[in-house]
Amino acid sequence: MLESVRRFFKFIHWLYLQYLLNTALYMLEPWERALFSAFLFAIISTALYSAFVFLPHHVRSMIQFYS
Amino acid sequence: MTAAKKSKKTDMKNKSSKLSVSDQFHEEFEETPTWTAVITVLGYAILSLLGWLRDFLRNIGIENKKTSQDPNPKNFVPLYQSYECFYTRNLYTRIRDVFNQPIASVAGATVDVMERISDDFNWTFKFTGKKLPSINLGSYNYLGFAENSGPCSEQAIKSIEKYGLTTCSTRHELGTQKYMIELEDLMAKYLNVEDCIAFGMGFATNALNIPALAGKGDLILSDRLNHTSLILGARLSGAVIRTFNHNDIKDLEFQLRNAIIHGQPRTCRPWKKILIIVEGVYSMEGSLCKLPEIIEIKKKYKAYLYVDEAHSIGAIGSRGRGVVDYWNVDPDDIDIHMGTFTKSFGSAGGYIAGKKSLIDHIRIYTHSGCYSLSMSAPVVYQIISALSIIMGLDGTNDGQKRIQQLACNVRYFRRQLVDMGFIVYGNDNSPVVPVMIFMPAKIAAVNREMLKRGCAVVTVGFPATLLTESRVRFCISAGHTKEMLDHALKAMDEVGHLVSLRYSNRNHSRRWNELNRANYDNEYISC
Repeated sequence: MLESVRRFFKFIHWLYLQYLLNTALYMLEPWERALFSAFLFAIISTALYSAFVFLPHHVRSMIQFYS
Repeated sequence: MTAAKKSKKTDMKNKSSKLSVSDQFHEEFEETPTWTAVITVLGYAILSLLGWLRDFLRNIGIENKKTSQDPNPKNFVPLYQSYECFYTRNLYTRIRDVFNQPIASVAGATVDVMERISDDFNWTFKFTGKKLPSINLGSYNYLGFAENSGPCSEQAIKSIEKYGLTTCSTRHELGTQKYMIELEDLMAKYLNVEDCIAFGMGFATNALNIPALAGKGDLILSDRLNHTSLILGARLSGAVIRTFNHNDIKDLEFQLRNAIIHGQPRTCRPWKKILIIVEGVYSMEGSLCKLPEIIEIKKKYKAYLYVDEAHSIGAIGSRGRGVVDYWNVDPDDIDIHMGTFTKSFGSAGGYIAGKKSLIDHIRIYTHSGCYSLSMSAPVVYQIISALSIIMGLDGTNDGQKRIQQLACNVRYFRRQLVDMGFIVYGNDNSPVVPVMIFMPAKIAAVNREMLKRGCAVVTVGFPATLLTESRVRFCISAGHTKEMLDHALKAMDEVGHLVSLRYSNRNHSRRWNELNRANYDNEYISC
């Protein structure tokens, strides 16, 4: 039980390391990492929120238009 | 989607008897996977954006400038165009702790790396005093002669007692000692040529002797991936330089035909001579040159051939005599053999070998003959003793054992890396093993993680390689035992999983435990 929890945390750490390596944040200073991550989080959360609010209405009106 | 450029040896009708290793010539340069290229470019874009932000903060004064400032007064023009350029400030300095690492012991099969820490993100370093013993996978110590005990170093020490350290003179003045003649004779015998001349510095051998061989009105055709010393020598000579694609015989032939048909650029006069410059083993790619085909072309179009065997002498070939031995060609077919003593012989310096008339000409006209110091006694005696061991003149077969050990090690290491799913460039027999990393942050990650696991490796990025093709370059040595190689492979396997370096589309990615190691062990013992 403890072993699987440890492995899960290791996996999360591995994912975090992949994020840092692929976006080259691994070589940046901590405040630069925070800046870029905040920026990325802002963009993604805005996109997700817009999708969440507007998509159902868009899809419904598209179905209405084509039917 | 990803094409494999596999170049197999083509059979030549009149020389098939000489090519005994034709079926073993196997070179691969797998193409970059698309997603990897996209993410690499994105990574560089993010780094550039943040670099601009930091430069802006530095210029308006929020952050203080830590690079060296122009010391001239304000109304002078700047001494250097870009005083410490953008790349160095913002990309190189961030991971500067993995480059230029100081060592504290002899750089043999194992080396002690000095540990450094930095408080201000690599602008300044402090030594902790701790030494990290690691397996040395970065030195060009191909035959394992870089050691501080043994017959070579004893001879070197005795020579200091007899000859002192320096002749304080150039070759043309009083610098030609008895041991220089001995070295040159021995080297000529080793390479099976008429004569040889040795110089104190390998880089300078190229840079200062190509001007003696080519000049205005000549054409130099050099491979695109040639070393800087060859490019510098070619530029210094004043000849016209044209490049052909790496190891591409068709392109070389096309360029040759073009040059001969059209002549010199403005006047259309025929070229005075054409010199083709190739290297035996290319140190960043690990590829071998296709010597028999180049010799055939050179004879057809009557050009001269200059082969730089810096990394291949002593390390390639069944008797260790370089690419000439590997391809089994006649040494008289190559006009100018060049090589260095730095890599396989554990010393310093370079040589040029060939016909006696050529060497006599170089003895007089080389710049280093009258402007640079002749070689020092311990350096020369290290080479002489290493050469006698390799040639078997000391009575043992230690030399042949070393050469075979190197070939075994190379084969063992390379095959396992390729089977694990890494992209490894180059020929199967070259002792230089470049494994691709591509992304800038992973350069630092691989180096630090390998050092934590006890392997000192060399990771290279821009400007030694293309911007998006950074790699980690392993140099296998005959001094590495099987346990050391196993340790290095295990470490590389872990690091490859941690950093996700298994890019290959051709070989399925496998962990080290999943490989069938009995096969490799059998192959290692039997070779």
